[in-house]
Amino acid sequence: MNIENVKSQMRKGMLEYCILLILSKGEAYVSDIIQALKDARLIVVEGTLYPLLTRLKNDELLSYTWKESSQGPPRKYYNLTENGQAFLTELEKSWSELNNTIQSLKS
Amino acid sequence: MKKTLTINLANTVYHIDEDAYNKLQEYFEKLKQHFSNEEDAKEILTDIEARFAELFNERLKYGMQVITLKEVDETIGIMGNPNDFEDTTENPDARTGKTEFSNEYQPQKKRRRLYRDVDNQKIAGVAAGLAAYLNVDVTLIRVILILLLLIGVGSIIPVYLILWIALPEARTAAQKLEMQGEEPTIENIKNFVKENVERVAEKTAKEINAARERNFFQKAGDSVIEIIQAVAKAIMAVIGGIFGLLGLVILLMLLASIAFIIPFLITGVSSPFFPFGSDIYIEGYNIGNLAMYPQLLVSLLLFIGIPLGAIAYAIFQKIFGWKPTSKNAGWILVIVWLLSFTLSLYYGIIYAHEIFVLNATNL
Repeated sequence: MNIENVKSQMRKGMLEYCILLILSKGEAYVSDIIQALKDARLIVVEGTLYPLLTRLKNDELLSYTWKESSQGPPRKYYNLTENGQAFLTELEKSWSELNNTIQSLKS
Repeated sequence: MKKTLTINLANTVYHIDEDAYNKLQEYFEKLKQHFSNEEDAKEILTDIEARFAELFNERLKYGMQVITLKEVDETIGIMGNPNDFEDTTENPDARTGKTEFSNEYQPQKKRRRLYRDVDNQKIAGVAAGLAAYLNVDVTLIRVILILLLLIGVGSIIPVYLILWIALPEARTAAQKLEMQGEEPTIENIKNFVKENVERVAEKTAKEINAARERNFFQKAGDSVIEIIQAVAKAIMAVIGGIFGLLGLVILLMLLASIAFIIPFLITGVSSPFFPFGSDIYIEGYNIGNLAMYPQLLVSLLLFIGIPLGAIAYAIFQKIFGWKPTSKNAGWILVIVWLLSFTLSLYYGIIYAHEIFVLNATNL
């Protein structure tokens, strides 16, 4: 058992949850999402997000719209679909349960 | 003045330095390989390309016209290297750490090197090294070697000793990786070291436990192995000593020939230290007086002496841990030896011819 492995496994589960949470507050594009994660003290390189966002979009949890940008090529602004919202609610429940388990084990 | 190329990212045109272009190209290739298993690789790559365009635009705002290595490095830093991408696949079994490496770092065949595996050695690590190279179990190799020995292929022992001298130890992490056929990249070395720290900890724990529990036969076995190790070293020392002695003798003769040739040439009298002072007869055939041909003598002595000395030195190095000679010294000796070879041939032919004439006229 390697501490790095365990940590990365923990993060793996969390990242989707984090993205859905961010998008539940409004639409955002990749750079916004990275910034929000950074503010919440979760450091991730941009490259990690692209495959994840694409996958979530393919699973119909997210959708995007193109917006023109003065800074260059048009940007994909992602938002939650209804499915995504439902998924998020499930995740919230699951997370609370996990949290309760940990809290009770700690005490 | 630098050469620039024109590229287009997400339908925008950029001028980019040649070296920056090469780095960018390499990076995109790596990305492509990294995502080669993804369904939507194309979409992901397009998104990333678009983001690069955006980041480049930010950096070109201040009147610059060309993307340089600096911008490429910064942008790659923001996007991250493919092996920094966290694994966000749903199926943890589909992509373990090892396969990711194979996709990226080993597009070509693995290249193994033959080393002595000192970590797994019983005597000198020769069998272990062979096993790593051939990717078979160590015990199998050892059993085969011993069986061959028992059948009567006695040459196994000298072969083993030669391999002991010839094969280097795999000492550094990079060498150990090469021995197993893994590319010695930084990533691999990092993981290798991590694994090894764990493995050493496990091994020591196991050995401590095992030491308590070893029964009589196992202890006897351990002693036998220690004895074999000592005997092997002793044999090596003896062989080394023989070579060393021979080398010394030749060296002495060399010095003697230089010291005594001169007075001999002057006075014509041979000295007891110098056996070549007079004609030597073998069964009535005069093979002449080597002292008259100092060049031949010196070349021959160097020709035989240098390899003997080198072998002796190598053997003593292995056993007693003498410091290895500098590479330059080694090269100089090689050149001198090659010269001595040529000269020996040359003078030897002349000498042989003269001897022939000498004997022909005497009859």
